[in-house]
Amino acid sequence: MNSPCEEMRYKIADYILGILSQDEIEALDKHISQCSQCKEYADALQNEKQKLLQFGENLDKEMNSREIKVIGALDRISNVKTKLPSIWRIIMKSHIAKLAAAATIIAVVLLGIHFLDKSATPAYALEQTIEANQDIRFLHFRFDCSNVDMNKEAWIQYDQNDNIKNIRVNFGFRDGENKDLVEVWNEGKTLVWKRHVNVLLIFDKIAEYKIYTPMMLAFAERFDPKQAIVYLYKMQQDGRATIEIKNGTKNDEPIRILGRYLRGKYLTHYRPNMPHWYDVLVVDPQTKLVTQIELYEVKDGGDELQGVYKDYDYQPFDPNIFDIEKEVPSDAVRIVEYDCTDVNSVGIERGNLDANQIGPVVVQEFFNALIARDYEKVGQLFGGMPTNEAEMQFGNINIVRVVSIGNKVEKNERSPAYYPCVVEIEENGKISEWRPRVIVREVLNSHSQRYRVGAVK
Amino acid sequence: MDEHSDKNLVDISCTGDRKAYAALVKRYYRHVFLVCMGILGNVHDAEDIAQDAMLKGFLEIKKLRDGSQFNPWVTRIAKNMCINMARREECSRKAIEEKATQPNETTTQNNSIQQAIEKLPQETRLPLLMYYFDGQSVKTVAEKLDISTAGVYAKLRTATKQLHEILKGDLT
Repeated sequence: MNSPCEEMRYKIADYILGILSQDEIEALDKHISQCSQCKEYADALQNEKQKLLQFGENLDKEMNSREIKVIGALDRISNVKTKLPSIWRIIMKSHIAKLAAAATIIAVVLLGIHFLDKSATPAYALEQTIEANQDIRFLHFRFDCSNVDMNKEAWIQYDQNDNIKNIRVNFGFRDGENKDLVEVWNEGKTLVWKRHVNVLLIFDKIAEYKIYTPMMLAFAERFDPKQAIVYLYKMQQDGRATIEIKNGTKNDEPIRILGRYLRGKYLTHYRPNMPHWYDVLVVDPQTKLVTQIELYEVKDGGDELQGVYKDYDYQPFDPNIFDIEKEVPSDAVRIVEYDCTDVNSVGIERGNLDANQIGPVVVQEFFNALIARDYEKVGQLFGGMPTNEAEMQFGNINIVRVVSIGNKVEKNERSPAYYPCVVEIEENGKISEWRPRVIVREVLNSHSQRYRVGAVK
Repeated sequence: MDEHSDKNLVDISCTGDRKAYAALVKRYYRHVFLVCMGILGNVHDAEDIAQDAMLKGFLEIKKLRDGSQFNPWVTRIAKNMCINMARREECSRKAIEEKATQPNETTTQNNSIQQAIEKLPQETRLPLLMYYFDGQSVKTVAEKLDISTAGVYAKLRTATKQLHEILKGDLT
């Protein structure tokens, strides 16, 4: 269909929506009777309206069954909330009964029989832990990994609606390189402080949203007890996990919640090739709060402990811990990571060059773009910096000649690796030398295939 | 239960009464589902999240201080869950890094209305769904979305045009 009269498009849409006055309808009818293109357009919209209404009717037909499904699920949860604890209390009145019940549970687990109803299985402990978590606003915990030489320490703060407000994770690596980094996330902003090279990475809003927000939320979903229980429950409902609850035989013995993920279903939305793992959430029988989360890998020779999230502490702490700008030294190199949706549009492709050879090429191209005052190219070489921002940052530097690009100076505890450069600049009719240090880094998500200028100091 | 006010039903639900909460489900599930559908664009995801939001509402009903605010409260829960899901989906796509770019579905002839709705931008999809599936009243949509009727008109016009373009294969 050729384009109909532009001014009529909105009138036709309004007509379809039923918001034209009688006079306007008559005027439109008159036009349509004389214009085949507009008639075709009006017919098409009318046809689409009918399809929409039909789709709506179909959706509505199934609404009742959806409600019934929800109410059915509600029944199961309701049973969890009301019936099981009271039965439990009756059973647990005598110490002998407690032992007998616990022995029965253990025997059933050992026999590997999943005898409880799918939804009711996690009932007792899960519901109580959800209740206990309700007023929690602060969380602090540590992580030790058995196979990777790394530890983590995390702080989470929640808002009044239970949503995560801030997350800070300190990573410590003990692999001899003394890597040490801090990640802080809050809605709309992520900072990563690489302490071992004195670099602060700042993620712009789009890059942050696409990379860090889902990553941090996925992390919190599993190791923040407020969400971990709900996550397990949801995975169970989706048929991706089974839950077993092992109550301690004594009052002070922890409750252990085993979330067994089906093979190939563990964290698959996040890491498709994860091996067969399962989690054990250890719950304090008194407070009903999670005190530890253990991660196991299922292996032929026996399940192997891979790591432990431990020392869960729910006491309030100083929220200033999320303000890492205060901790970052003033001489730290600040690198902005821009939107990385199209990695091929930023930096320079490495091609046959190795990581060391591509560095001087990127630096040279960057200076060439500055000499040409091509700020679109400058921004592109700077990892996707918007053109106007590139002009604002570099517009007052009038480079006339590149004198030298030195050999790479390797990273140290005060600085990332950089290229010492000498360029001539013109200022007020005078030529002088400028000796910037240019940091080159790989383009985010380019898998070492593309490189960009990270910072100029 | 049907004659009770929202506040009454919420108060009774706080005691663990599932029948009272079921009445709230009957009253508001449809709206919550439509909002989820408007944000996610996909029927199955909308069903999942709408159900989860309703169940979460039951588990956390004691947190709701003003029972008359049940509908906006449970809708807000659903919206947050939708946003989290959308983020996880984004993460998933990122993690999988579908290098073998999937063939662009520009099969213009066979685009069903459901696929076209899924492809609409979220800001126009929600008003369009509410308008057609909720009585075709601009005033009602405006009230539910808390925007002006003029704003709803503008979004509906844009949505109508976008939907047509998607179905014609001009905008995928």
